Amino acid sequence: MAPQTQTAHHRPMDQEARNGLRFALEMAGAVVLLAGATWLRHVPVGDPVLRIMLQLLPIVPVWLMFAAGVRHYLRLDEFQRLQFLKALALTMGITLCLSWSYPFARAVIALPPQTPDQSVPFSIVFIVVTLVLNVRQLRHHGRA
Amino acid sequence: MTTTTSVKRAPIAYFTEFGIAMALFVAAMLLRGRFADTVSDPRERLALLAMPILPIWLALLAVIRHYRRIDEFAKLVLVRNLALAAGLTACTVLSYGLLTDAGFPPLPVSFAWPVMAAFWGLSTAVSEWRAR
Repeated sequence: MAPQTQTAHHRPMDQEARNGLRFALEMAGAVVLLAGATWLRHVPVGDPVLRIMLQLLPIVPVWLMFAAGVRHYLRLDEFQRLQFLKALALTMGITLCLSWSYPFARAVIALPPQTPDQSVPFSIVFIVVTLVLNVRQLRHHGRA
Repeated sequence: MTTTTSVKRAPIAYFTEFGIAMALFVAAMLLRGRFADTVSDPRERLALLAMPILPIWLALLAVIRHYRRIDEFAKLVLVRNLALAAGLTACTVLSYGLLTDAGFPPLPVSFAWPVMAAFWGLSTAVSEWRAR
């Protein structure tokens, strides 16, 4: 019997890629739900109880995003967990310092007023930090 | 100094460095409040107004230096607690933003940081308790 060869089409997806795909799907699902819940908030409703419930509806997908992050963490191996946590912790520290410094910088430079929503600076810092950590890791592996 | 001694002294070094950063922040805030209106030179005024930025970043530097001094397990616990606090704070702040539309009083951005400190303390206490 001829040995079985695996072509690109039949090769099973490795665990790492599967984890990444699961995380992306779960997060995308939560984002879609958030968009839907945000849209529902603008629907005119007569009943005050229902109106309040619609106003609070986006809270559910916000916490689903957190759950997606925790589920992703639990699927990772020890090394990936450390990298993921390191990126998150460093992002939080940098965002905190940026947000804390902003009013002082604003007193000196003509900057726009600080927005209460810090998710945009957090996301930008997270991407940059993850990129820097990964590049450093690759360089470290290259030297070893 | 050996690595073990360095690890043992890490908390003392951390509290010293962090304490100095916070003391500098308080001093900068006091100086800013007292002399900001009296200083006439625009450059000096600029430096005075922006002065508290430096100790804020020194505090972050103190945490990073502490992270580099501690052992592998302590590193994992530290980043795990920080990341958990970050996630919980982000979700709490976002959720509260939605609650303001339902009649809750609006809070400033700076309110997020005491919340994060509380979550960090809580997650550290829980992980310490679980470790025992």
